[in-house]
Amino acid sequence: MGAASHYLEAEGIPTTGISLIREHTQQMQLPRFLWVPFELGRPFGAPNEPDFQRRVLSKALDLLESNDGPVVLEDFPEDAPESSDEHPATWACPIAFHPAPEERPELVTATLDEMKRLAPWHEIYLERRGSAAMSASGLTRERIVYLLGELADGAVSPQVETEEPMHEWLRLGCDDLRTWYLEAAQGQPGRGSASELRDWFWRDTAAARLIGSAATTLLAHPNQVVTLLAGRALVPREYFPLLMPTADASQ
Amino acid sequence: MVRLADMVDIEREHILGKDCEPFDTQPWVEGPPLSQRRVALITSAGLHRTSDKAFSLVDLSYRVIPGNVVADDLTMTHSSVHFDRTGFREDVNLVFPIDRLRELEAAGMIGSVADFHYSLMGAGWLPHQIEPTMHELARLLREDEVDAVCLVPV
Repeated sequence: MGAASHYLEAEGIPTTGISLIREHTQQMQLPRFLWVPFELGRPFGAPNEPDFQRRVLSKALDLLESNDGPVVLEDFPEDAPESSDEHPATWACPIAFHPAPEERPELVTATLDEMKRLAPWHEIYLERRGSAAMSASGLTRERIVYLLGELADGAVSPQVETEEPMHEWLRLGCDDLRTWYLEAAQGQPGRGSASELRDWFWRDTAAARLIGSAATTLLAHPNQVVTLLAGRALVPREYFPLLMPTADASQ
Repeated sequence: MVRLADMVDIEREHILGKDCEPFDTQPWVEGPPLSQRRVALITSAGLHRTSDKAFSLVDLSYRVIPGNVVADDLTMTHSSVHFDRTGFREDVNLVFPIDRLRELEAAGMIGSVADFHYSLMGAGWLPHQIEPTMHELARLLREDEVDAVCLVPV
């Protein structure tokens, strides 16, 4: 958002903003930004914390009255509620999955089995929230699993019920699958932090192994966009040794 | 889902290695007191109304979010292994604090909330490539008499 602030100010429109990566904002020398020590994807700290969110927004808007331009970068002094030391990292998914198999055909079956076991908890999660499931890819989660299996087995362009190009349904489909798992986990008793849930998904589920297996095969895909996606945007680099051991995490 | 400070080295170095060179100029515009400002939000979370076109992997376009939008009418087609959609799904204000902005308007801290807000796909482009999009948004913001924009990354 740094560039957006620069171009809007150049057009005569005052800006303020939230910075999640202080180093970037500082390097770009931008008009007014409030750095927050929160997780990526959570610029206002935590969901359903209106008082906290309001403090963050108020602090960012206060910068509009600063006279210390043209570069202002302040730090928000509080941690997000969820990441405070009052919530030690002790969460573990109460449902014990079988260890994820190594072989590709078994990964599809194992993932479908996981989803069956998690489905009641996902329904509870949705009932609690009072909303419907979402599919950004337009594909069902079962379809995504089968497609990932096909891709892991070397399919170059599987038949899909969407007009979107492969790199679009693939990235959104993997995100849909991960979102569904994390929502199901949040339906269960107890509550893990966002980072604990993240680690559970990538380390303990067959779904993550399936994504890793498909991504590994797709590194040799003839479409360069798909190759780039597979090598950079389907699996976090820190889980490459576990999920994509033959891939180069430094790329 | 993870703070930069808590990332493993290889992930953190990848993010910090992105192109973030300073611009040649440092424009700075001031305005009236905050209590008189009309404020718009611009998010890079790839949000849009469910009926609107999804963002692509590399996308310099924007989507309009009406000021009276209902949270359940918003979806996210930004994707990243560094965060997930569950927080946004629980509470849209986590990435797009429209309710908080309305509360600050009711409390008199800001003058008013803009009629229109905007969303970008915050990945896949270099800083200078967003210039034409921002010129167009600046025209729309002026038409809405906006004199303060809060930029929200994801």
